[in-house]
Amino acid sequence: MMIDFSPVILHVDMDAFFAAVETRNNPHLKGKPVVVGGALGGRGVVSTCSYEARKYGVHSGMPTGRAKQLCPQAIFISAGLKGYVYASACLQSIFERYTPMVQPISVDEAFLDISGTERKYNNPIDLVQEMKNEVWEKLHLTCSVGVSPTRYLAKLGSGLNKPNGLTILDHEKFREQFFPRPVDALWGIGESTKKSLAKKGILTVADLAKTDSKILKRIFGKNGDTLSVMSRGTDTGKVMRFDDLPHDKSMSHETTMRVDIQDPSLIRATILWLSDKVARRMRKKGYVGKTISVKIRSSDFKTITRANTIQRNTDRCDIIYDNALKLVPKEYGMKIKVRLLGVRVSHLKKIRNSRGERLHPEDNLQLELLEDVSEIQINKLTGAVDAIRDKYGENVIKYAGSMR
Amino acid sequence: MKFSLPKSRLTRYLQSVLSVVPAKSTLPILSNILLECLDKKLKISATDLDVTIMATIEADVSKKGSAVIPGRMLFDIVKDLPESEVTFEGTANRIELKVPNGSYKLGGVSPDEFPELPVVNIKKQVTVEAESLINMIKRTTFACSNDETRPALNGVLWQTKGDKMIMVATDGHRLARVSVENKKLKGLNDDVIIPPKVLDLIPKFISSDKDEIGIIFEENRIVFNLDDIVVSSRLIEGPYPNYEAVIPEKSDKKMVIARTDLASSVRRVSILSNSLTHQVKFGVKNNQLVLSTTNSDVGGEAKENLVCEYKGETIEIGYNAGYVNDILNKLESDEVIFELSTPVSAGLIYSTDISKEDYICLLMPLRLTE
Repeated sequence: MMIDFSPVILHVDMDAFFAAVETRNNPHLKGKPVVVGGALGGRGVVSTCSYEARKYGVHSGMPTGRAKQLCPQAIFISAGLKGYVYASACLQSIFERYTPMVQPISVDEAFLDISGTERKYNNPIDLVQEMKNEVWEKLHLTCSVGVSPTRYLAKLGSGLNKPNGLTILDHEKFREQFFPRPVDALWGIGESTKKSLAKKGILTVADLAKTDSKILKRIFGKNGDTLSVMSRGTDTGKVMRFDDLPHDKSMSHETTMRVDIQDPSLIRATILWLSDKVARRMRKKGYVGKTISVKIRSSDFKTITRANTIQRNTDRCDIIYDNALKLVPKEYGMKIKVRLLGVRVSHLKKIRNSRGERLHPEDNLQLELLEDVSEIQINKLTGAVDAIRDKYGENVIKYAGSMR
Repeated sequence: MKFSLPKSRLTRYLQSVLSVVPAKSTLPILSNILLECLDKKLKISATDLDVTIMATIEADVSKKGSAVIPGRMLFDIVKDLPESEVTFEGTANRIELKVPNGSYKLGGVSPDEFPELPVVNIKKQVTVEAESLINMIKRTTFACSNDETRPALNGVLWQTKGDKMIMVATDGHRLARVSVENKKLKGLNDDVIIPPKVLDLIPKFISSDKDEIGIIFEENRIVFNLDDIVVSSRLIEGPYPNYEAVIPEKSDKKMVIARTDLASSVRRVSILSNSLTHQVKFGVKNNQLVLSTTNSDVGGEAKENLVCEYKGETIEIGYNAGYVNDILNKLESDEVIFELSTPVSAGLIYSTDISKEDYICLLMPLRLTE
C-alpha cells in the first residue's frame, strides 16, 4: 500500500470505546454482548455496545429498553465517564507523539494530519501501524483508522473496516466504493435529507455528486453546498489543534424525562436544572451569550424550538432560566405532555481564556452610576457555588427549585 | 355599519394608532385595529397589550356598528388614495371601502376577539400643562435603559415633591432629571415608572393648540387624555433605585464651553475612537479643553483643542462620545457647564439657560485605557 496524495489525514475512531474500556477492565465480559448506556431502568439510550451486541441489532442512540428486548442476555452497564475521559486523555498524548496536528472531535475520535512525517516514515502506513500498536500495548484498546487526503474521506474510511481496521480511501476509491451506495452511506446524511433527496430522484451518492450544487442550494440553502462537497469528497477543511478551534457557537443541555410530564412545576424545575447546567458550563469555558432557546418534545414526538435574544450577554443561570421559561408555551405541561426539554444559549462571546484572564478588557471600562446591587450579590454567590462545585463535584450543591 | 370621512383625516389618525401595532406578533389579533361607529364619531383603537391607543374622530356616520380589520393593510390603501371622501360600509365580517374610482373589500375578525379596551375613568383625571410635560419627556426618555435585567430602569420615573414634578431616566451610565413647577399634580403620591415608548408618543400626538393634557393614574396603568386621542399604558413595577444619592453636590472643577462647537468636535474625534467603547478623552486645564482618542485597530489618533472657561485643577477624564452628544443635543443653550470631580466619578452637565435644579444630566466616565 503506497500513499500518493497530500496532505495525509487520519481519522482515528476507537472501536466500541465505552464497551471496550469496560471489557478491558472486567475481563469476564470478553466475548459477551455488552451495552453501555444511561438510566437502565427508564428511558436512557445506548451510548455504545460491543460488536457482539451489535449482531443482535443493538446500536448507539437506541433506547436501552429496546436494546434489552433485542438482546436480553446482554450485560448492561451504566456509563462511568471518568474512566473513559482518562483513556481519552491517554490517547491524545499517544497521538501527539506522532504529529502536533491533532484535532479531537469527541472522547473517542480524532483527526490527525501526518503530512511531513515522510522523513521519519517512508510510508505513512508504517506510522499508522506503529500508532495502532502503541494504543494496543498501552491501553489494550483497538481503533480503526481512515487514511485520506481530506478529513471527510478519512472519517468515511475509518468506518469501512471496523473493528481494528486500517483503510486508505483516496478520491478514486471513494468513487468506486461510495458512488453506487445510497446517499445515507455518507456521514451527515440522515433519514430526512435522504427523503428530500429521493423526492428529486437523487438516490445514490453518484446521483448527488452529479447534481449541480446550485440546485441543491435552492432546496437545502447553505447546506446544499455541504451536500455537494460531501458527495464529491472535496472538503478542504484543515486539521486544527484544540487551541486553534473556532469558539463554540452555542451551549445546550437537554434531557428526556423518565416519564412524560404534565406538571408545570416539574417543567419549571427541569428548565432550572438545565439552565444551571448550561450556565455553569458557559462560566467554566469563559463564555457569555444572549440568544436563549428552548426545545420541547411532546409525548407524540412533535418537537418545537423557541428562541429569544436579550439585550445583554449573560452567563447567569437566573437570567437564562427566566427567559427560557417564558419561551415555553403555556399548553406544554398542562394540556400537552412533555417528553424532552432542552435549553440552549447561542451567539456566544468568549470573555475569558482557559487561564481565566479577561479577553476584552474594553468591555469593562464604562463605570456604573448606580451599582446593580442584586447583580453584584448574585455574581458573588455564583462564584462561591462554582468554587464549591470545582472542589467537591457538581451535585453537592444545587438550586432547591431544580430538585425533581 | 356605514360611515364616511375625508381621506387625510383618516390617514392621520390611522398612522397614530398604528404606532402601537406590532410589526410581528405571536398574537395575530394584535395586527388588527378596531373600528367603532358611534354617534357622529368613528373610534379607532389598537393595542399591543402594554399600550392601547384610542382615537375618536369626527365622521359622517349613517349606520352604527363595529369591525376588526388588518390595520397596516387599511393604512397602505388609504394613504395612497387621492384626496377625497372615503366611505366604509359593511358588517363585522366584511368591510367595503368605497373610493371615487372603485372599491376595496377586506375580511374582518369578530370584534369579540379584540382585546378588551381599558376603561377611561374621566372623574379621576388631573391636568398638566402640555408644554411642560412635553419638555420633560423630550429631555429624559433618551437616558432610559433597554436592559431587561433591571426592569425599573426601562422606564421614566415620574414623581412629585412639594410643588414640583420630577422626571428621571437613567441606564446606569447616564442620568437625566427634569423638575417643573406644578401645583395640580399634588395628588400623585406614589412614584410611577412609565415606559418611554408611550411617553415618546405624546409629543407626536398632541395638537399644537392644546394647553393641557389630562392624566389618569390608575393602579398599574396610566392614561393620557389628549381629547381626540387617548393613550393608556401599563406601568413598570418599581422600586426605582435611589438616584438622588448619586447626584454630586458641589464641585470645584467647573468648565463652561460652547455647546455646538464641543458637540461637533466630539463627533469628529470619535470617528477614530475604539468602536466598542467610543472613548474620547477630555483633558481640561487653564481655559483649554483637549479632546483626544486613539484606535489601535486602524492605527488612528485624533486630537482637537477647544477654548473653554476653566480655572480648576488639571484633569483627564474619558467619556463615551455617544453619551456626551446625546446630552449636548438635549441642552439647547449656547453654552453648557460641566462640573467634574475625579476621573472615576460622575460629571454633572447642564445648560447655562436653565437652572441646575430644573434640568441636569449626569454622566459616568469610562476608565481611561492608557
